[in-house]
Amino acid sequence: MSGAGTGYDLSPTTYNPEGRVFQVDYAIKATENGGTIIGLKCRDGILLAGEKNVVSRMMMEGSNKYIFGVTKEIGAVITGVIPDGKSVIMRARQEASQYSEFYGQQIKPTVLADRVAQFMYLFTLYGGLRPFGSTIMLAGKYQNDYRLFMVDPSGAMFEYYSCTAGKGSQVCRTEIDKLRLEDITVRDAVYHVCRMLIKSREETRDKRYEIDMGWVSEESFGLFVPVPTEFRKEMENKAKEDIEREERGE
Amino acid sequence: MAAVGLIDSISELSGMGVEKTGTSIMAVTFNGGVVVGADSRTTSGTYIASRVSDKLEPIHSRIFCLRSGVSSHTQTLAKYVRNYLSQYAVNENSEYPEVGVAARLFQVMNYSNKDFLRASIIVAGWDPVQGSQVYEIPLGGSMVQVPFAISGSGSGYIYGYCDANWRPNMSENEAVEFVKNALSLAMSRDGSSGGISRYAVIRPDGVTRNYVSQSDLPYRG
Repeated sequence: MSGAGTGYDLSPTTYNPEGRVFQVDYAIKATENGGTIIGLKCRDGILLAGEKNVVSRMMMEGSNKYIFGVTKEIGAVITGVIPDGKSVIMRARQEASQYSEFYGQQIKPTVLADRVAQFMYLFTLYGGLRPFGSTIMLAGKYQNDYRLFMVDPSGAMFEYYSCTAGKGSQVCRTEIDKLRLEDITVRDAVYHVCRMLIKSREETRDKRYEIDMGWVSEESFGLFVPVPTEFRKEMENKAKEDIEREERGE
Repeated sequence: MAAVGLIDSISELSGMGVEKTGTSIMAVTFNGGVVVGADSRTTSGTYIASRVSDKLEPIHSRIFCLRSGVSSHTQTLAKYVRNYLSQYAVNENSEYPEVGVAARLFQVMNYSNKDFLRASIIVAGWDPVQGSQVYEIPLGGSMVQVPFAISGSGSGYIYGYCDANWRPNMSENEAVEFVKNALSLAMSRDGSSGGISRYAVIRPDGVTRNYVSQSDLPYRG
């Protein structure tokens, strides 16, 4: 079986002659096949959103969310291999609760993101483990500052004004670059994100999907909470109509 | 507490006690900082092991702790907390870590090892988030934040004085006078406290340390 990394891709403990670790690259590939996720740092907070294919009509609406709360003020969204992502979230929750147990304070978003990154990095070091096939976006408030981070399967962590991952990430990236994030609120951003996510589903337009969103903002008093469902659905429908209207050329 | 009791009884039999800081220590918040003060006597039974000891222990650049109980226990606790806190400060990019974090570290260790330790600590300092704070962590490992705290064997003699004379929002000079007088009264009545009184003023812009020599103490009993 030949492929790009014949022989050098059997384990995360092997480099190839070009200095790449193929298992980590493959894990990143796995996240690129996942549903699109977006994080936007707006004027008054951060919006996290993700879209997922709904495989069957039998699935309950609103179940199986990809957005999680880690602490009261810090939330996350995942893509890629979902069970991998969930397991990282469980670890993040543990880290956060042990931290506050030991230091008597809520963990800061920077510190939590760092812990998550170190945890994911651990799995790129050993032959007996495989890297997580999931990208995690973390958003949280600390004192008067909103911070947004993204961690990929290699364990690299960066802070962002806006970030995307998953299948439609390139399309959404272009759309985000057209926005002036400092001027819009998280409320405004919900509409824009719905537009982007729907637009990025070009090929799979007819398949059933669901959008999950959560925000941490002035409006939510600095807590990470789900975006109210009726409001989100309203913005989704509006976005859908606007896109259809544009396509009809009006 | 069983282990500590055993150590005490064995050393009593030999005539020398475990080195203890029978002591008078206090910390007082004022408008813009904290004053911490202590006596300077360390005893081993009735022998004064040191008449010039320094019980004002810096934990971080704007955080001090005051120690009473068994010297070795309190010194070791302070070392651990200093270590953990400095790592915390580096990790979190925080030049002045929160005083509450230092207090919490003392509390966690004091409580989890309560069967083996006899340590009563006052943590006092300043941080940019909450300003000046004082926490007391007595023997059992509980923790409470207070505007001022007194502790040690000598503290029993000055509860009345402190309650009558403490006011919120004192100026730095008023707070220093309060500490000098209170400690001097305690030292004049408590056999386990004495020597000189040391005090330090912790402000956002720095820490100044000073002492009151025996001849300058206001009350000498």
